[in-house]
Amino acid sequence: MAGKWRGTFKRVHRCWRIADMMALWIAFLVMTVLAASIVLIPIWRRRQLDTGLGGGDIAVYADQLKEVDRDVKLGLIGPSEAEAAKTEISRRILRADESSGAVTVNGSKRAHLLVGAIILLAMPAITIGIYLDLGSPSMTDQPLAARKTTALEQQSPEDLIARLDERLATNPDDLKGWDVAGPIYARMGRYADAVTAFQNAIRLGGSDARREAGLGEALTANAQGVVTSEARAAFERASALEPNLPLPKMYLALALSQDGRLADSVAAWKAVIATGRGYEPWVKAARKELETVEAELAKETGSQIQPVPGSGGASGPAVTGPSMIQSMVQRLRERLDTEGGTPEEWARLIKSYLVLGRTGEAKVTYEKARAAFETNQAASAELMLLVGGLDMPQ
Amino acid sequence: MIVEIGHYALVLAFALALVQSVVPIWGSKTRDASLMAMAVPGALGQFLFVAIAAASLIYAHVQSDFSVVNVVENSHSLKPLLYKITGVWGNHEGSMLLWVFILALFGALVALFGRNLPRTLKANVLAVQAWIASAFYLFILMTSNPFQRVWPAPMEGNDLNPVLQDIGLAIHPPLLYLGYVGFSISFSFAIAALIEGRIDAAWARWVRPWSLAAWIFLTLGIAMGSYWAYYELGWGGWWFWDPVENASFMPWLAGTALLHSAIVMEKRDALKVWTILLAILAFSLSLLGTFLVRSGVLTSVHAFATDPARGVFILAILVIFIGGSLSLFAWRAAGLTAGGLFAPISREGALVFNNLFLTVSCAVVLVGTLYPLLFEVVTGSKITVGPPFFNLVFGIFISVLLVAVPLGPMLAWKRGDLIGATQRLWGAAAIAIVTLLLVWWPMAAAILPSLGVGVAVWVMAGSVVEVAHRVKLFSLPLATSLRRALGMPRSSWGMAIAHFGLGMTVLGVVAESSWNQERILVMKPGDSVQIAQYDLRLDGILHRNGPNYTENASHFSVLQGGVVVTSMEPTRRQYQARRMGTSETAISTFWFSQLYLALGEADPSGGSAVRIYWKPLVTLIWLGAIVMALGGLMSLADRRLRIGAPVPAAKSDARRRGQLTPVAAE
Repeated sequence: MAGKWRGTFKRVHRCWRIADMMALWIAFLVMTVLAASIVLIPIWRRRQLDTGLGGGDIAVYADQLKEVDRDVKLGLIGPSEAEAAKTEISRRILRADESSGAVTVNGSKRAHLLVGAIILLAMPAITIGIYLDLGSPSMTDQPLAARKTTALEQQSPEDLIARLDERLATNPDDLKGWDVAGPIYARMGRYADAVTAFQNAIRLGGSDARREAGLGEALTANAQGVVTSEARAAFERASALEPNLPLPKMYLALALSQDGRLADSVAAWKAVIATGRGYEPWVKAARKELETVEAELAKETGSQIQPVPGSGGASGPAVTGPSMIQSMVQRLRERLDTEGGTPEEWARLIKSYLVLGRTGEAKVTYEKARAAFETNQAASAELMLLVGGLDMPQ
Repeated sequence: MIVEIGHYALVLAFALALVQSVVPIWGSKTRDASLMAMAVPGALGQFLFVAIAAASLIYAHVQSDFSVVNVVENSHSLKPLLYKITGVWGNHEGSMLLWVFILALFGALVALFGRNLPRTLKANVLAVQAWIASAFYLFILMTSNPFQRVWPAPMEGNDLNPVLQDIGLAIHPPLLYLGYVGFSISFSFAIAALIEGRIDAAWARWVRPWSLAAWIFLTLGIAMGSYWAYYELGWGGWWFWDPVENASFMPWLAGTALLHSAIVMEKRDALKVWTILLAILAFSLSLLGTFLVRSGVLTSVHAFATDPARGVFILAILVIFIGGSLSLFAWRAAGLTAGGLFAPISREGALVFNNLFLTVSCAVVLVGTLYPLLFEVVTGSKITVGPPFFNLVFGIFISVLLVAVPLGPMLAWKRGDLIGATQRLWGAAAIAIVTLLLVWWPMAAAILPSLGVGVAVWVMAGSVVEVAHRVKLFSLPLATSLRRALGMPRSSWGMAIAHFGLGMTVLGVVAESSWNQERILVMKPGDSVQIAQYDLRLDGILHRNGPNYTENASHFSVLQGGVVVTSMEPTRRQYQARRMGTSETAISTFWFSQLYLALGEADPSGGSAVRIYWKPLVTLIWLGAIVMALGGLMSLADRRLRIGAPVPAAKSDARRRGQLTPVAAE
């Protein structure tokens, strides 16, 4: 249902964008027409135009003469001074008369048509040419208040995440922010950031089951699915705080099987399953996992020679047979082979192979990934950067 | 959409300016009234579209639209609204937009109010105005575009430099630019006159209001900038002979000279060629000022290299406009008719004296400002020309000019009587000398500052005596004098007021620089310190949160004779976005003097470094400038036409014999 609404929303939004663009260009058109027409008014109304010289020097001098009279009346200057001033001004009037022999004319209609045509063509051409070179007509206004209050769907996830990042960077003591950020970072695959977020939440808000479990999960994911000792400690704390929570117990059971303590693991899985009522999704997942571990245990006890736990990889963590981590890697590989993925996902797969000691497969995967991004330079560069930090065999 | 409309409007204004640059000139050559008339809608259209552009940029800043690079670089969503608006011109791109906005405004005003101008002159003036505008539009669009966008838009901006987050930014740049750009009108008139090859007294009449308005704004702008630096920078100084200050001071000196020489031209039809040259120089110095500041070339020639496109563009504009106009002047000036004659001792002669000293002073500042630059270009090493050079050389020239200020208005047009003028000023001289002695002897002050005070009082008293003389105070019944005072032209009042203001500023400068007191020390809560007649006690330190900063305020009580007269709170602020601190000074005014407190760094022992200044009569510096501007405004309000009525020769002989009380005709 939500997906359907989202689609409708996107369609409506796109229409809006088109309407926006049209409005913008209509505004440009109106402005251009306005500019061209006001400048052309004198040509249009050429017949009504007064072709006199306009207010000239003589008008100013005539005013000056009147001024002298007023000054005399006010007693500011004496009569003889006024006479001298008047003589001088009259002389200027005579001179101005001689020099203003030229009059203005109303130019030929043909010349005016030519000027008008040039302006009508050149002005829009210059304006639009320069604007298209410099402007960004496809960009709408983005006032901050509107960006902050628009529905989440309208905002790009990048915006939201950037806002979160910035908020946390400027307020490192924002408990609520860290609480929100942890699961988000984990879901985005930014496991190291998720670890930091959960750690900060615990630092500020104290230890609770949800935060400890989140921390454990993030630590595990950051170690390519291996429940590290640090992660285990977190799950143990979570479990102690809230014994009814199944998730930490499941990870602890997984940790046992990763350590090769398969019998203990089976017991742990059974205990977890017993706390559920039987129909919860996690119970299903736990049962499946239990089956895998039991099968492995059967294989192991069936064979005469007891292998060293963790013999699955040369230098990798203790993994025996098709454990959970192996299947995770397998699932990721299948998905990438069929659907493709981001450079980060490819790098994770390569990294997993390297951790498991399957260097040959790591190399093959690297080749495949490079082939997948052959046409995408940015992605290919990102892939090389990500893989560059790994210890790839030559 | 609004941002893009603004961008488009700016380009459209450029296109209009191109039309306005070419068509009216052609019209004036062919005497085609229609084509000449196109300048008017061109200028009005330009103003309309630049206004749209400016409004949309302000809108983007107010709305914190971080998809605009200019907003990202200079704004912050938490900034108070006022600073969101003033931040628009608190940066290079925005300030250039303000520049063209004011240019277009002046162009539109000429188009609207220049109805009594001869057709050809108006067409040419507006065309020249459009040349300047075109150059600036192109400069903005190509190298300093404030409408550049960024995608994806950041969620927050870099904030405005905290030093600029002050009411001063709201007032200072617009005033300064109104002054700078105002001189573009006188410049355009000068160029138009050179193109037409015709110039007369009527020309000066038309130019006067424009150069006067520009001068008023520039005076206020410089004073405001000085006061802003005084209280914001926290060094207690009000003028540093900094290149940026000099850049605004040079056009002011040239503009002041222009105002005075234009009077001679308007009234006596003399000094025409010289006035044209001053009009060109005043605006050239404005251009130089704008660009030297904007290009950053003053801090180092290397700033030019960091943004070569901008630097080369600036250089080209300077060369074309300053070089071009001076070449045109050299080519056409010889053809202009010479003006009326006058004796060396006359009002005209006094104004020539004024012009000589103002332009030389201006040249001194120019050399002092540009010399380090040339030195760096030639030798590659840096030197600075400091206040000692300016104070000495500029000081000498300006002192001579100040002594002469009261004499000028006492001289008659065409041929004057220096001895008579001096005699009429005996009252002013007496007041000045008594003040000098009162300062020098009982206060045991040094001789130079005492002389300075004497000159300042001489200038102020001189302008009072001049008015008294003109209205024949004491020699006629009071009622008659009053009537004469009311009938006195507003431009005469303006001159007297402006000269009085000049005296006030000089008094403030002399008193502040000679007798200011300073204490710099570390104080802890409870500590007291004495300065002048006041005791300052640090009561405590408070922590507060502002909209985009946090601050520590130190609360001081000011005591005089053991009684608290006022309290002062200098603060230190920390702005989060830029991680920058500022020191906000606290200033208390006692009559014309001020107590000035600035906080330094906090001392590890819990104390805080404090700078305390006692600045006697310091406010007179700026009050004087405001009075000068008021004088200008008074003169601007004089819509009458002015005539310098010469005194007939025979009569002035009689005057010399002492038969009549001479009148310096207005």
